[in-house]
Formats: sequence, C-alpha cells, structure tokens
Amino acid sequence: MKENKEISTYHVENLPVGLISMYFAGILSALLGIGSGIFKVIAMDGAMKLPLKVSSATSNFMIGVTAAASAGAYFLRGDIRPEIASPVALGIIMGSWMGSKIMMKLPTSQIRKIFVIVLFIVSIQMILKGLKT
Amino acid sequence: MNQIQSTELKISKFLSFSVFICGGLILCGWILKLKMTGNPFFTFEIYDRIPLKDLLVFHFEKNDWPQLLSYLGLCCLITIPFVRVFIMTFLYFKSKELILALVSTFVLIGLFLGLALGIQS
Repeated sequence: MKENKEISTYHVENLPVGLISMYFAGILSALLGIGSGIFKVIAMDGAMKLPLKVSSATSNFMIGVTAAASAGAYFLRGDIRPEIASPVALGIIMGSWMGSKIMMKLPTSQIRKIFVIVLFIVSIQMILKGLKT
Repeated sequence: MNQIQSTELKISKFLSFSVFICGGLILCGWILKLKMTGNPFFTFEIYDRIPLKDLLVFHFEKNDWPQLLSYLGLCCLITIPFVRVFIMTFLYFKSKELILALVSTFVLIGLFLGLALGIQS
C-alpha cells in the first residue's frame, strides 16, 4: 500500500476468496451466535488485502445494514423491549462514536494490536464456553 | 473529492447527527421511565410476545409517554440504515452511476426482503 498523510491508495485482491470467506463468516456467526465482524475483518484484511481501517469501517457498515433488516423485523414483532434495549443502544451509540474518533487518530499498527488482543480474548472465551458445555 | 463523495459525506454527517437525536429520545424515555416506575427489569418475569402495534396502543391508552418516546427513538435508530441505502440509491441513479445504483438497489431490495421474511417467520 502506497501511503502519505492525505491519500492512501490500495488495490482489492482475491475477491473470490473474500466472497467465500464472507459466506463462512455468515455461517459461523449464525452458528456460534457471535458477531461476524471479527471474521469479516480477517477476510478483508488478510485475504482481500484491504487496509485495516477500511476493513473495520466496511465491516461496521455491512453489519449495520444487514442487522437493520432483522432488527426491524424483531421490532415490529414486539421482541425488542425498550426497557432492555434502551441502555444497550445508548452504550453502543456512545461507544461507537468514541471508537470511530479513536480509529481516525490511531495508527494502523496500534489498531492491529488492539484487534489481536480482542481476537485473543474472544478465542479464550469461546474455548472456555466450549469446555463448559 | 467528486460530487458523489461530498454528498455522501454530508449524508453521513446528517445520519450521524440523527443517531444522536435517536439516542437523546431513547435516553429521555429511559430516564423518565426509571423515574416513574423505578427498576423496569422487575416487570420481566414471563416472556410474552406482543406485536408492536398492540404494544403502542396499550402504552398510548395508559398515557405511558416515556415508553412511547423510547419506542420512537428505537424506531428511528432502526430506520437509519434503510434511509442511508435509499438515499445512496437515489443519488447514484441521479448521477447516472448505473453499476453502483444497481448494487445499492439490490442491497435495498435485500433489506426489505429480509425485513418481510423476518416478520413472517
């Protein structure tokens, strides 16, 4: 990737691999009940060679848009109760706003380190859950 | 930065602002509800699915405005991604970016299809 302070140029690679990875990301997230963002970022960053910030932002957008359809359905069916959803939504609004601000300022190497730590924690959590059942 | 990018940036800023408005509505509703009823989690003993329409009528008849305010905020919050894709589709068609317009139309159809299938299931 060619980079300067204002403009970064990059090329999308391995689109079919990315497509297949997204397919498996969808299956795994539905199967394990965890957010597919982690898999999406790995696929975009690793296979498609997108910059990490672009991968993260695209993953966020994809999750937001696709989740809106199911959230709308749950909402209309009366499954979303404001008493529970309100504090969750407020926390997420504040957290995502802060996260997007921090992402703009942090260098990619730092974001990658944070991502690795999060992946490690999620992996440990999944292993522990798996051992319990 | 071309015209589409600058318009998209304006839309993004407007929608980010809308998210905070929704957050404000949810916060007001939640605080007022807490003030009126104390801990609202005590009411959750049995899971009972009631369609949104019936819930809104029920809260409206009870003059439960905090709850209705929370519902309004949540409704607007859920609508934002739909609005985002809809505006982008319109914008791409207007600027004759046909491939992007078709892709965003496909996403929009997928969204509404997902919503319809989700309601039916």
